[in-house]
Amino acid sequence: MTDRITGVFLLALAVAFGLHARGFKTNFITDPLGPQAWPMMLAAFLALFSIYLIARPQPGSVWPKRVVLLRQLVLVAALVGYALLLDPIGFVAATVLVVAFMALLMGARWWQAGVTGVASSVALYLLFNSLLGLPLPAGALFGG
Amino acid sequence: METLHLLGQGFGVAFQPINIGLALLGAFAGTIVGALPGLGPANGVAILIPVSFTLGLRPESALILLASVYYGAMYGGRISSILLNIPGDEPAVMTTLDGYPMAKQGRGGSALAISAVASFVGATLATVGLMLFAPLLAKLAIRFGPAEYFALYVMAFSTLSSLTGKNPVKTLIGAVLGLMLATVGLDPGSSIPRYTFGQMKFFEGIDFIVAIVGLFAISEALVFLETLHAGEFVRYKVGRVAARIRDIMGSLMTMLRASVIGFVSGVLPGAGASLGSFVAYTVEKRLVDRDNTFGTGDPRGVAAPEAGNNAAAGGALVPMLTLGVPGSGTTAVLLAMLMSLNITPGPLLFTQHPEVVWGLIASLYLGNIVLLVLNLPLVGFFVRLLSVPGWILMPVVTMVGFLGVYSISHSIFDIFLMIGFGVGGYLLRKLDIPLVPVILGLLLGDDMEVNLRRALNLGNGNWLTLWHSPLSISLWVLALLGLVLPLIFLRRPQHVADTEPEGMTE
Repeated sequence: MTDRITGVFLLALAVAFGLHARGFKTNFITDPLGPQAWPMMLAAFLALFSIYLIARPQPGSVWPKRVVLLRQLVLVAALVGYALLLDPIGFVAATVLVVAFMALLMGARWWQAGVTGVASSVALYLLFNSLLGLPLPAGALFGG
Repeated sequence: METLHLLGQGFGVAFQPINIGLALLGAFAGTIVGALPGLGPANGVAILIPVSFTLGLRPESALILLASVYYGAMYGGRISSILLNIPGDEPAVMTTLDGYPMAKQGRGGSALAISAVASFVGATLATVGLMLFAPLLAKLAIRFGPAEYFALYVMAFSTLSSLTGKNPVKTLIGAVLGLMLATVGLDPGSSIPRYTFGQMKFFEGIDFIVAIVGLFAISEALVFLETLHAGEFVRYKVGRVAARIRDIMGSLMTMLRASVIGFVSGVLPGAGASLGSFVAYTVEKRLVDRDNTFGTGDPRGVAAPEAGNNAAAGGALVPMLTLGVPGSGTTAVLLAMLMSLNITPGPLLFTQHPEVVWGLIASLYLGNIVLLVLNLPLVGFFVRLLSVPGWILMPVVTMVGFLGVYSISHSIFDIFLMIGFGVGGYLLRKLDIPLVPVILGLLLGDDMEVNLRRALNLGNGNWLTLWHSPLSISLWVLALLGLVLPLIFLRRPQHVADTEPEGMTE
């Protein structure tokens, strides 16, 4: 079943990709193929393969249970949050938070998560900022 | 003679203090990356690329560092396969077949020693092969025109599809998705924007490094959350890391044969190390397994795949350096790095940047000796690393990838793109669509299109021009054979297919 759904999705992607390519127009002739042909060829191949997938699907993949799925969503959200927080609160604070949070998510106890967060954030700051000379946003903690 | 002269110059590069230091560091870091369960060479190299950028290394130094990581990870991969039955990457799967039974019987130390020697033999012979064959292939490749290059790219995808993954069609889907991603940006022919959706950020195309770190490192963290409660690993006593001379002598011929097989499979564009270890093991089983001891802890069953996959790792560098077509996932990542440094691998690399090629070859010889030392007397350190819990490992690895990308671009947009690729990579892995063809498509897409258009331009729009020369015809024939032959001859035994990890992280 998974294969069939994937196939339908990919087929839709192929059609959209191919239709979008019709918009690539130039006023002058560059070469026999022009900017449209290659994307359209790719779209045709993807359509072909996805039809095969719909016609001859293989036994479906094992999808994670709801708890795991929720954890994965939370992890992605945490990474997005980290990217947003990096500038406002600074590297060290943001990294302590996100590493500790990830560790908790991956089965650490709260104190283990805390120690991992602080230790890795300081270590990474020293490694990247001081040793490799990459400026990281210091944030309020370091007066940046 | 010319080879020796060039090799001498190469050693001149390799013996510069900074390059010796980087080779040592890379070998060490690579062995760690390989030894940690769930982290393969492609991941390790991907995560370290941004670091090598920020160090401001010269191209040859950056390549020496990352190639040492690559070789190191191939050595290290055997440690978790043998002791925990968890292959760090696909090529290491075959090592579990006899390595883990040996560990169960308390002969883990002996398995580690034999596999270290096998890795050394395989990797060193492959470096010799690289040194002898790469310049020859480069000379041939100078005669390649656009039509030949286009046929070559087709051949890479066709061998890839039939040799890796469970379902060839899914490999092809991965390749097309990668090629589609490569069309994002300004059209190389006419400079009009394609699939950029008005985003200026997309005009230069999708950054390889952002895509690779996302696809490999971020998706790995998501996969890890699934395996979290799969149960604790059982550790067996390692014993002294030493092998009886009899065991080593007994598997010497196996190592030599496996090295040759591995090297050849590595050279095939797109095939790579998984094929090397798989074929090496199967052939040895047929040749020497008279008492049916393979699979129950036969030292030769450990030596064959390890010599095979290390030799394939060296072999895979041949097409990457001479043709710009990587032979494996990790060499694809190395190619991405070279392209980002404005070095285009190909036949001209050998004349324009001999220091890169020969410096790399020389430092691989040195690196192998270092790796043998790290992996025989000092292997205990890496064994101890196996007990680092995942909740420390995964967040730190994710952060290094994150910071690497942030440090090259300082753009939140790229970070979001990377997270997007992470989610996408996870979905592809769940759907059994391997990631390596996606990367390969993304890397080669531009050149593939440019060469097709150039060929047709030269041929005034006549498609027959694509198979006009004997050289291009042979490449098309090879592409066709690559697609068809393995389907007939290389049926994988079912139990092997079942134990393969889902992601292609070779």
